[in-house]
Amino acid sequence: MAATLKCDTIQNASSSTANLTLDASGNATVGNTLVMGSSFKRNRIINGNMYIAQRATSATVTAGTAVPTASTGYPCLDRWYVYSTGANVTAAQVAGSGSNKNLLQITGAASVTAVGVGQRIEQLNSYDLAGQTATLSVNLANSVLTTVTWTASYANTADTFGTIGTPTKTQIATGTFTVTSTLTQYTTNISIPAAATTGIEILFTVGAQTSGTWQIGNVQLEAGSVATPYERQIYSDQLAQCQRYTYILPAAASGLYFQAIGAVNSGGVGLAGGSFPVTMRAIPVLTVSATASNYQIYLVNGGTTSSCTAVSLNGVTNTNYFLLQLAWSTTGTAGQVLWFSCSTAGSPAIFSAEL
Amino acid sequence: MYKVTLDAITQQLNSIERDNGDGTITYILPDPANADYQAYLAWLAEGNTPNPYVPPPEPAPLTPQEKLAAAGLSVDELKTLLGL
Repeated sequence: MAATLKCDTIQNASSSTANLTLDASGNATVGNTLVMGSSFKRNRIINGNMYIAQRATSATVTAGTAVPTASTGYPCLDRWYVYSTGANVTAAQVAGSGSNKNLLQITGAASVTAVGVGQRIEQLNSYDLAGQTATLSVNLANSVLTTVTWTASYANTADTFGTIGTPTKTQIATGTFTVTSTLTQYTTNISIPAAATTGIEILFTVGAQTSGTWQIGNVQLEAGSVATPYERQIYSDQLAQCQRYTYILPAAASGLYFQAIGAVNSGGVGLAGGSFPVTMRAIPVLTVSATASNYQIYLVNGGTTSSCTAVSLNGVTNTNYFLLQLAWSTTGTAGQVLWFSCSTAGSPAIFSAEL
Repeated sequence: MYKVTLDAITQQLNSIERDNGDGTITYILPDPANADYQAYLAWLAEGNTPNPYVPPPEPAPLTPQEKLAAAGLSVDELKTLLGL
């Protein structure tokens, strides 16, 4: 039977304000947050489900607090920095369960006194949260410890948070989750102050993880006071989001792996460049193997392959385009086309513009 | 810890090289928004000075045969060209 319900407001019996207000123009205004079974572009955390691991799927975290910087402190999973004190730990992308494909797992070690896992949200992606209530949700499990501390902070100046040892950030709020060895979702509301227009950091920490494992997944920070379901994204979209902060020219497991095209400047010096897939947050730094011979140039006319003697970043590199400065051991002709490649697994060229 | 590098063309200051001590080297450009550059500036402010630029080794000069090959010529073609 077709019917029309005519009213101005719809209000929960226990609420003091209307959940939904209907006006004469056909508009509907939601009193608080519209909670959907699924959502889009709500999560301010990038790679919260731990899918993207451009650098590596597992790495040792060297103990210390002089991290993170643009190129240090990010061991494996994109956008997530990890630090430890007392002793090194291992950070790895591991398999999840159910609908959670991946988790970030920290494996403890003797003498560890603290471990932290954090993400810094740049100003452009968090500015509007200032003065609002936000909700943090996260899946956590720890096989040994029962307390995980969360801390939200904002940068003292835009996108500049300092390091763990020398922070330049202001704490917004902190609290604890009592966790078990079973992966469980935890949520909390955070009142973001009006001053927090400069970027927001979410940091999870544990104490002496001297053994066992700590797992983290499906991290979400969203506007409003309700934790909505984790916002899943198409993999390629999520990869592009990560590449704003880190872009890698991968190395081949075997054979040569083409990375960039360029030309000889003179003698054994040349330049090779390319475009970044997305505009990077800032002009990136370049990290390469200290063993320059892990990289090669191929002089197209003549068919000569030579090992590099130096690989560095040319100063014209910007947020959209990179230019590598190369040197090698044989003489080329000015203007001769060259290919830059890498043949050694584990020697990727990494462009970093992390916070 | 830090060393300056020069631009291959202009021979002017190019980037800052940082040996990470783990088998990798990081090259830093002067972008104030980059935390690695900020760390370099802090290091300078402490009174430190970067190591000077060290040019890469000169490549071996081409042999006459390599020069011919680079020009796409064979010895016979060169002889023909020169009327020998």
